[in-house]
Amino acid sequence: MPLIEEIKGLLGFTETDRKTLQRLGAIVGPYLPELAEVFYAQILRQPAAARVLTGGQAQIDRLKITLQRWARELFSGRYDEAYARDRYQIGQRHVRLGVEQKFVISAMAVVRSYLLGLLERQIARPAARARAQQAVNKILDLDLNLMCESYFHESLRELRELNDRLEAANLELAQLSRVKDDFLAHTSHELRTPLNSILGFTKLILDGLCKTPEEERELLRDVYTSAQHLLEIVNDILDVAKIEAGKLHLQLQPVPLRRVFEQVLDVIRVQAQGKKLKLVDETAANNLPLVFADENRLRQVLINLLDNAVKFTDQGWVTLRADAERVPGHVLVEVQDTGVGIPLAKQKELFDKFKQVDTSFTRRHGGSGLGLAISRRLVEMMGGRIELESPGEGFGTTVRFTLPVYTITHDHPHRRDQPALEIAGDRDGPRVLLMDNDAAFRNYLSRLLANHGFAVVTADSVEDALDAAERFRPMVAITDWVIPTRPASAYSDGLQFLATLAERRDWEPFYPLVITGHDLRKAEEELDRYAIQPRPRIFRKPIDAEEFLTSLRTMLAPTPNRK
Amino acid sequence: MKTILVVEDNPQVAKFYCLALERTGGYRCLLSDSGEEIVARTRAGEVDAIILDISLANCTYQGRRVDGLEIARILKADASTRHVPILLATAHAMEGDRERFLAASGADGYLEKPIYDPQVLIQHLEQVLRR
Repeated sequence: MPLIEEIKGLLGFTETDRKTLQRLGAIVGPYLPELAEVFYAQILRQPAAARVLTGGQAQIDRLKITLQRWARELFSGRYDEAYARDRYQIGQRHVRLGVEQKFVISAMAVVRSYLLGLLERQIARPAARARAQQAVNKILDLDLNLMCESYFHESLRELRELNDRLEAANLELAQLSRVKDDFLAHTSHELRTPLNSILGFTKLILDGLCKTPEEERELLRDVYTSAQHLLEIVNDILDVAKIEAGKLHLQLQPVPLRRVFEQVLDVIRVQAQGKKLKLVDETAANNLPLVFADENRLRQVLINLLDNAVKFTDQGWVTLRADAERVPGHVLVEVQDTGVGIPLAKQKELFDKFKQVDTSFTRRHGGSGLGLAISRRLVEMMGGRIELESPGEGFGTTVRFTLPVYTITHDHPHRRDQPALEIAGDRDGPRVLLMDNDAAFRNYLSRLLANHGFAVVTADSVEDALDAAERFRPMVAITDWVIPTRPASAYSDGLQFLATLAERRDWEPFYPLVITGHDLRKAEEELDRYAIQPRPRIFRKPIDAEEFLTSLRTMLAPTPNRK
Repeated sequence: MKTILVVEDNPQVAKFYCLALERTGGYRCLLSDSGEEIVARTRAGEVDAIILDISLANCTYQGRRVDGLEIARILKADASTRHVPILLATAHAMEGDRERFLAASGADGYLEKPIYDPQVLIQHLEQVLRR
């Protein structure tokens, strides 16, 4: 709350001023209706007024009464806390209505010039007139101060909000950077292990330390195996990087599981025989439906899991099962082994990146330590879930995951029944579709556009946005570039969304926009890969509200050479 | 011919150590990842020096899992094995780890992985053997 006494002190507002104003009430009172007329005659000439005063003559008549009441109180002689609160609230109302501060200041100037002119005419004695005018100036300054304080508080609130968002973003970045550091430390270690063997054995051979050609061949085989291992690790690292950047695109299609199972079992059988393990296929008996998946990536997941099972089992068997009954709408695939098992406390961490039970396992068993993390992401991107179960160390491990059964609706995953469109802002304004999974930014931009005469529909996923677009037929589609992928989503970034939308639409005009916090040059390069028509414009995040609105309006303004 | 006991859980690295020791330095090489066997062979005087990896996935001693630092401590605490030089080997050591590891284990030398030059391995080993 404003501190009225403090402001009065700053303005040099005295008891004499108070009494003077109280006495002036009698002189000014009869002229207040005229003040109201003069005020609105002048105010309505300002272009800014047209934006706020849209309620016609009735609204202006009401406002004239309000203005008179406000002016009368200037001469009440009671300038206490209640007075201050009242003035402050008037300011708040203006803020809420979107009246700009400079508009309030210029309105105050109109009142001031009218009142000073009135006193000039009404008070003959120069000394008394000067005193009266001085008091009026002070009380108007006081009111202006109180009203503007609302603006100050509003900017402060906005700044705080912005600051909070920045802090949250900062925190997220810091965490991200720590994860990246761990990743780097881990991968450099994983890369160095096979490189060690490659360098060490080749050095032995080059130094002529092998006794026979057979021994040389043996060491070369070790070098070859290590190099293969190195390649596996590099591939895994690239997969993780692609997933992290949202650039791993799945080709979801109906897949017959039988075929995939046979292929992966053929690959694993050699390894299992090498360790004298029994490889049990329990999938053949069941009649399995088609699943909706990416066949190559599904094979990768299965090989990962079976490979792990063989690696961590020294005797017994590895079993592959599949079942369409246990989880409705899904096929459940299970890989079970009789191997070393996993301590209960460690089971949860296993699907996290780079966490093996113990990094020394990797050294003993090979692998990048990324297999389970990659498998989890791949299964989730295909619309399934993955979990791991082990009764404890020494009791074997079961990993099971689900895959959605292929149904005809998968051909039109975006044509689901949807509730009515929620349109914010002016329903007759230019139609803007806004897709961003970041709720804070989405709300901010939606509010900005809605407040400036646009009709806005928002969506937090590509699927919802495409649904909405069919009915809303947006003139402008705005998207973030990077969007987290939903399980089973065929879209991994905002550009894919725009490309799909641009292809499907049957309306004009259509302006795709991308808002991104990333490097603009990189974004432009990325755009080159898509042939989106018309080519999307890229805006940098955070956006400058004024500039952004101006660009939108310019874009949408009719020009002669456009259809 | 001197006998070197290699305690290293990566079979490829162990193989490299052994070949390097035998062919470059003319040493005999023993491999083990059992705590009991390491202690017993050292006590029996079969071992002239030990190359000991710090992180060991599967090494146990008297039923509990032990790492290289603990094995070194056990050997250095035993009057009958104290004199056998130990060369600690580890992959991810930070600044200051060296002193900490040596102090914590009583080991005689420190081998920073990666090691892929046979000569470097032999030099390190000869250093601890001379002490």
